Amino acid sequence: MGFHIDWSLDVESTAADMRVAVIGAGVIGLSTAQCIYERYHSAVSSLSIEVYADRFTPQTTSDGAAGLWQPYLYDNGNTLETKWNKETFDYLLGFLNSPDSIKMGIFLQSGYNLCSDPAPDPSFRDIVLGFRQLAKRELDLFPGYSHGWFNTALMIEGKSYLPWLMNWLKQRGVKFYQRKVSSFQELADSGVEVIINCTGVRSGELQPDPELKPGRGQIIKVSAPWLKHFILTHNFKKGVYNSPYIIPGSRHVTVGGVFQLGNWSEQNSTADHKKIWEEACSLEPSLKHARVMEDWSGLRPVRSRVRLEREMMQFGPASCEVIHNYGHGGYGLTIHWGCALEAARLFGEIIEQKGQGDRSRL
Amino acid sequence: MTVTSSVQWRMGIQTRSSSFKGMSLTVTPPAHSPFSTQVPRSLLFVAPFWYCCPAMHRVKVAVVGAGVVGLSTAVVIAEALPHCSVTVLADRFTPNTTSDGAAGILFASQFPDVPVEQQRRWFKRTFDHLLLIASSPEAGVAGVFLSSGWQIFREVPPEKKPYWSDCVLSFGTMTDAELKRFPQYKFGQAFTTIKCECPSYLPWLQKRLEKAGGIMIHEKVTDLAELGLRYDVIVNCSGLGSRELLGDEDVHPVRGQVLRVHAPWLQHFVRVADGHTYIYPGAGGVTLGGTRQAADSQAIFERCRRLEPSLGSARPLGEWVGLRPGRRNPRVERGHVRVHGRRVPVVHNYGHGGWGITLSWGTALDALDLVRQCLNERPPEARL
Repeated sequence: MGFHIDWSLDVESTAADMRVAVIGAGVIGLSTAQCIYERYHSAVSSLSIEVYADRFTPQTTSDGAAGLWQPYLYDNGNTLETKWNKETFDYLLGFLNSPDSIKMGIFLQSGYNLCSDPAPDPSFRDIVLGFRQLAKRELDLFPGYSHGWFNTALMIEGKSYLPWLMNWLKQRGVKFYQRKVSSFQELADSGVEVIINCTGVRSGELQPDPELKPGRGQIIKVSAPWLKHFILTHNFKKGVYNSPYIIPGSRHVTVGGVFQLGNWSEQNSTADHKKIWEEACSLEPSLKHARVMEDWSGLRPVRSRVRLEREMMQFGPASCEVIHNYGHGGYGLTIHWGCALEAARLFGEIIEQKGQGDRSRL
Repeated sequence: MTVTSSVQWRMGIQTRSSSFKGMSLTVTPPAHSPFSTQVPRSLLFVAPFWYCCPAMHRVKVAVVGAGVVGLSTAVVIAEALPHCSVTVLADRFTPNTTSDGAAGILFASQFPDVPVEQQRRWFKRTFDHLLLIASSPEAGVAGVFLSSGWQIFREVPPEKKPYWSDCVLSFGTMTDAELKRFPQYKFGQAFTTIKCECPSYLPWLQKRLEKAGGIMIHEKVTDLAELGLRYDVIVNCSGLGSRELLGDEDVHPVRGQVLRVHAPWLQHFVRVADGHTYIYPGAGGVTLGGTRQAADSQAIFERCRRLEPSLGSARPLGEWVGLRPGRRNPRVERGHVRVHGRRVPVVHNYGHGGWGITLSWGTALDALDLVRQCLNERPPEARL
């Protein structure tokens, strides 16, 4: 694949290294590693970053997601997350004209957000491009939907973005270890000073978190290359992602939506497939002639809000700083860079504090 | 002594699988008809049975040309006039017509001498017809689907909203944020139009024609008078061929050169307002164009890549050069050809330049009206 994963259990490092371990190799883990490296590798001369995960691309949750940049319709006052979403959008938009854009899986896509009832404008209206209300003639194309918006957003496809990130990190000496970390202490005992916890839906295995739940999703990948717009429907009674959506990508079209809170199954369900397919064909009749490729199920790491904060952990005489960065629900790709920037900022705080102590590394 | 008797009867009979009601036919025997000057009453009883012998009594319409205009016109006639038998004659069928190479983005231009209201009607009727297909289960099969994107201008144009702006979906001015991607362009329009890909659409039209009872014949028509021996009405949709067929020197080839590349991440069209540079993503590839004079592919590619840098990652699929049937204005009007002293009506529908697909259904409907006029004026003689 172009990058090296170390299968050994031993970590080679010099005693003077400042070891930072990122747990999780989805979009959150990899982009946080990148952001910290970018900002601190010259300030901290012995910075050594290691990424631990039991699943790498293309097996992560980020890989299965369609990759459309779009937050939930309303942030319910969580303006910090809206800020992070905007930072991500602007950051990705900046890559559009670069020669790497396709390697990164970034491209523009326009489309429709449809509501069965009138609804206030969404939180992202001033972030995306060309946001406008749908005209009656457009709504007539979607019977059953009386209100909606058109805008131009971005796609950020995990299957391209994650390999690009891993390559970027590998080229800068970041090491990868394919194994399941059983506890923060395990890493702290081995000499890691800072842990970045990007373990997504399974964060509860490292530290119980009653607010974190799986939001199971299932999608059908189809070939329908005449479809050039995303179509997302919103049914406020059924809740987010439980209403059909169709998102064309660079390789196939992603058809969904299912959002089952508390369901840990990663197996494809025939009943879900049937529901998704029937609803999507109602929405977009031409799917009748699409070629179905395969189904995929994944677990969104659902939480009332993203957990992005520091926690100092004491394990006997050793202490370890943990930066939690998990719980991004169905908008991990959408929010990842803003969160990476914030995590890097927290890392900077840690560096500064350590600099004031015995081990001055600056 | 000349007796002119006019017989009118209403057709309320079933023929094959379609019925036509309310069509009246005025039959007026000509002054020097070899037949009796009075239509025998017995014929009034024979007439309802002429559906048994369709070949003898159906009006034979020949459509010359099987590009998008020819096939659209043939379908429109075959579906609206079931008492006509429609035959399409062409030397080239899909995928070898001019239409097949066109990107097929619906986009209207302005002809100097056609009233704007008529051009708008042509465009609107085609758009609405294709929009129905695009929102049906057949969109993928017919190759007709929605396409959003931008038309960009180097300088702010005097007319910011062209006459067709309310025919497409949600026409608007580009925001500053949207224009940022095109730093050398000062103004832009954003809208959703339709892409109609003829390699899929023409076969779809052919099926529709066959379903309506039409047939297709591979034949190069070189002499309209000869055709007039075999057919009652001729509809001329021969595009560039009209130059030779009719001697219409107003028809001139306008060369178009396009590249096709594989770049499946491109979802939007981009068109520079002067029409020389465009990027049209389709179902099977992206069409990059174009030119109205000789230019090499590299030049086209470079111009497009400046607009859309990600094209640097695109894989080339091929090149195509076609000749648009250029004319100052499309010719949609009646004419005739003399065959042994008779006048065989001809309906012309050609000269659409680079807007064949865009105007195909609208001009076909106008051609249908002209065919109806021809039929209403037909003398009764040999066909009863």
